[in-house]
Amino acid sequence: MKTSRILYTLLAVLPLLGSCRKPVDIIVATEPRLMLMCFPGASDTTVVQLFKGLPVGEPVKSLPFLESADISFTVNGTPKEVSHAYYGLGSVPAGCWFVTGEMLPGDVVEIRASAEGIPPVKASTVIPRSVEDINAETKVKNGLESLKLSFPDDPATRDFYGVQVLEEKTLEGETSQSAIAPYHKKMQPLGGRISTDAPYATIGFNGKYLSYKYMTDLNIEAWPDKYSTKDGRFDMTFKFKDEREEDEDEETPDGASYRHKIRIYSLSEEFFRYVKSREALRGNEFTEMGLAPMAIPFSNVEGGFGILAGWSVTETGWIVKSKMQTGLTLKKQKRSPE
Amino acid sequence: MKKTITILFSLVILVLPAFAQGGGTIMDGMKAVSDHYGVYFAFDSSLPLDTPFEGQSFKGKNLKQSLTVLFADTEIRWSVKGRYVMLHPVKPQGPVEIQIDTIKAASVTGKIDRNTNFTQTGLTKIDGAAFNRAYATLSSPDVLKTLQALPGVASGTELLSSLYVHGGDGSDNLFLLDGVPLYQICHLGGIFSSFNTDVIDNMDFYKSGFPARYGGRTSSVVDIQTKDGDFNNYKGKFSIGLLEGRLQFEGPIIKEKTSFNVALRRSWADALLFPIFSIRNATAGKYYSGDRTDESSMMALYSFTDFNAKVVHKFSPESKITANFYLGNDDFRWDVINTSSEDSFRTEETRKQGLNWGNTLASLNWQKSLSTDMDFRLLGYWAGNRSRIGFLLDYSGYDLSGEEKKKAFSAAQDLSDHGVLDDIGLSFDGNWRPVDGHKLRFGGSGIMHSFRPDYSFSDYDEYGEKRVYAFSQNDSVRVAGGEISLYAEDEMRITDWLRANAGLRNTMYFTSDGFWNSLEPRLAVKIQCLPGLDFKASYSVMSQFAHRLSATYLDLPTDCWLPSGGGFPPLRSGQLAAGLYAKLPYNLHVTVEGWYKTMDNLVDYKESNSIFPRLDESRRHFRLGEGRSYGMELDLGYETKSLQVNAYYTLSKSERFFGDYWPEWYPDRNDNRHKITVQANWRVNGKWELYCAWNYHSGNRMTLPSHLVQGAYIGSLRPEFCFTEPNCAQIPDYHRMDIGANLHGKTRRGHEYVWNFSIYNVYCRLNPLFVSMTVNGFDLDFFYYNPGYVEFQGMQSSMIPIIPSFSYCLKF
Repeated sequence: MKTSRILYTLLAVLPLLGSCRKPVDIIVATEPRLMLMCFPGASDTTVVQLFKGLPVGEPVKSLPFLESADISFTVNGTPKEVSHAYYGLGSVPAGCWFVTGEMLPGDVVEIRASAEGIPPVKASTVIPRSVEDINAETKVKNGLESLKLSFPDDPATRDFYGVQVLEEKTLEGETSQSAIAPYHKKMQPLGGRISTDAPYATIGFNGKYLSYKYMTDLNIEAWPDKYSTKDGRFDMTFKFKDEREEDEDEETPDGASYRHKIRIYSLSEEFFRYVKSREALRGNEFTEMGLAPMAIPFSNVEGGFGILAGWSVTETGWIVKSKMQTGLTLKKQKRSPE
Repeated sequence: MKKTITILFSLVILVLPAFAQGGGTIMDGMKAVSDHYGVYFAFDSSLPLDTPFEGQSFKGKNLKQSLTVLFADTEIRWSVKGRYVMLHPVKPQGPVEIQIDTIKAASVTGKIDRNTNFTQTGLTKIDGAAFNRAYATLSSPDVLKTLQALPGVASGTELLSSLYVHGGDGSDNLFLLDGVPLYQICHLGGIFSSFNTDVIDNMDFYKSGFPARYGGRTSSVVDIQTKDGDFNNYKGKFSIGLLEGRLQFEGPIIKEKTSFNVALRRSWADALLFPIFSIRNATAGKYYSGDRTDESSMMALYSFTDFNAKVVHKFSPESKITANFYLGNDDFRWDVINTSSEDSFRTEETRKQGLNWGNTLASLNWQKSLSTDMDFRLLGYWAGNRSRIGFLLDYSGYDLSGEEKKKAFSAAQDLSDHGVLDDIGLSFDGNWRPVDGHKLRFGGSGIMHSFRPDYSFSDYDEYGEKRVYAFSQNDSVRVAGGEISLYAEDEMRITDWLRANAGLRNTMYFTSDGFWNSLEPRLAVKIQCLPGLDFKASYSVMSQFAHRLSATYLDLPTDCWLPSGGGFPPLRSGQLAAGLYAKLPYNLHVTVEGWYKTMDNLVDYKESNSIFPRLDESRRHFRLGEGRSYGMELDLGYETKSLQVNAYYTLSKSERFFGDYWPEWYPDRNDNRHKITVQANWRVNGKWELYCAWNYHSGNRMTLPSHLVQGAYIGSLRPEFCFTEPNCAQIPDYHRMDIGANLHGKTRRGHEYVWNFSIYNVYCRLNPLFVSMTVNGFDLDFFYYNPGYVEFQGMQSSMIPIIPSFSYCLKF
């Protein structure tokens, strides 16, 4: 009886040790700031996003969307016309500004913006040189398909690349395209020490990014300075990563035919740093509790925050391999526990 | 710059001895003896200690001979008991007694110990017995908690952190247990330290003014010496508390020749948790839904153990050898079993996670006096630090339709993660007093480090029997390192009012990744401006060649240590400190000390999506940066025979600069602008001892979002918090009060016992653990766009309420 009393007493005391939450006055910022996001590059339309960042602190009674803004967009010092899309317009979502015309490698893009009396912002970037003379080969070894890439790279400069494989599938007369991300053996998930959903699982773009969706899904891990060869060529072998469910019978041909196209993206350094910092922001519980370092998204926007980062892309022609025509026959990749 | 410092430093060493001379009062002579032989003086303040002493040489004399010289022709009688020198008038007013733990001396109204007589700035000496006289968190005296109360030391997150000394990052403190460095010094993420206070004889804690004999860490030195066992009598101590139990026993193996001292400390949180979870599993773990039955059982057990053993053998009064052994171990287990039964099919999911970490060390220490002026210590040791993380997942389905239970499918994985670090070291330390006024210390050490973090992962086939996938990365990260250090320092009494400690340390460190040589000048000067008023200043350079790679700010077994190399240069700090130290009337003393410290090559985790730093390419996941810290400390004390009050105040600033993270200096997370600690200890009578402590510090820094952006990404209408500056927010201030009492008594058999009652956080302030932001009363995950009104609110999460505790200690 005594023992049970002691146990019940302990159980009653236990909730005292539980965590509790209560409101607390804390003001982090007092002034609104502008957030600018723009990725000019090899696209005939460049979207400019400008947001009003509400200060986290005192209550605000205002619309967070910007009704109007004064935006100056120059390429090599020449002003470009900036239009506003009140409604969705093709690839330009509602509420954004846009500039038409493709940027060329070497172009210097500068944006200055102000709105609603909020401190103005400015930023600049240079469109990186695009890759030429891409040599892409696919190979099948031990049932595992790989992609060998090679293109010129100047070891004396610090360059950043992203890789994307565009897969076209034709089945019963219908053709569909999707972007898949290959991965490199040095960056494949090792489990445990890194989480399986970490961006190291893949290398290159997954295609979603360039449609301006889901920034955190962008997986990029290319550092050619590290992998380029002495004779000045980026030389790297990737493997294709299966995105299908493990219990799916991947060995069974579905009768579809496939062909692939390789895209090599050249990135400005700010592009790379921004994406890396976004990756790091995914966070774990320790970070949210202030018990681990919190990542800060890279910003090159003066007076506010955000990113203006240039890119360019080079695309190969369609690559058709007899083996690949039956789909990507992949060795089963195991996932480690999260 | 380095050359200039070296030249200046050499000049100081060469020139200062020329001014050395003797003379002064008996008190000055006592200070010299205290420093020379490391003894404490206890005396009646009515004794005529300001009598001139002509400064006869102590050279060639042992302690007793020196005391004879010092007190010849005076009305003072002396006696030596252990480390204490008791002074009495020739016609004593009353008895003076000494016990092992306390100076129980009604007639002793003054004392001089090494705490008032050293040259270094930033040095606190703590007698082992003092731990039992001060407030004990959760009724368990603790080294780290004692040090966290001192000025200049940040305590980090409540109950869960290590030491952050003068802006340090917690991994840069040198913990020496009988001269052997330890790496893992915390139990349970920092709630308890790994040091059992029952075996601590004394402890030196340096925040600045590091003597040349110490090296290898950049922020502080905690030098702990354990007690020798009693050479004549068997005795011990048994203690039982709310969370842990302790047993210590000592005595002679060969009387007067060989003694032992062993101590065991173990927590019994597991003994409390086991019945709690058993009851939970028996009463709340079953759910029914139609024909389906779900069962869930879980068990979480945690325990830590410390075991210390020391054997001392005296070959002669001048020669003794000591064997030391220490084992510290933490064990955590978390098992979850979920089963689901429906018709004739049953699934079982078993998740077992285990964490185990700790230190083991073994050392052999030979100390010998070659003459009254020369002695040395030779120390050989092995110290191992390990951490293990195990994970097992088994998900199986069973077909129960037949007579036998048949496994239908299975998915099993296991994961094992080890971090092992072994040090094998040999060190030599010599003391030589060539002439009066000089004490030379010199020596060297060689340490072989073996860093062996490894990781393996296995996946099993569908019947859970055969490995189909396995991975191990242990070979790729094994690194061996060698460290050779040489040092020399001279403790000089240049005049009656000027003393200095000058030294030089050189460390060579080599791994397969590179070789580094570090020359570290050290200088401390003490000037007696007036009787009872000293000015001290010091400058020291320290290097650190081992880096703790941690994804969190907690002491967790997920941390691992790797040596410098591969883009990680050694950490380096330089610190300038100066202060005034005054003894005031009415038993008051005051110390004011300031410091400026720089730190280079700090390491910070730059990813935040995993708490497991990847080992084989660890450098990629950490960034290098700088730190700086400066501030002022105030220590005001009042001490009588029954009442001791100390008030500490720290005004400081601590900043970091990691260029590829943030382009400017930003506040360190432990940048507590103000810190105040007030402690009082009152010996009411022979039975009761009361204590009270109040702690306050400005809130820690956190990275909180500074702005909210609506629909930051095209296609998304969700608002998103934007983090624009690191550690931009200060969470609410921290304060709490602890009270406690010791009740001393004797059992019927004459054994002394002590009941300890303590209350942690007596006014139950729920101090912030962290703060998160909400919008319109919702966490952001649940917040949807409301164009009319946006209100932000910080939400503070707290964890530690009022905690009463008790312990009972029996001495036998």
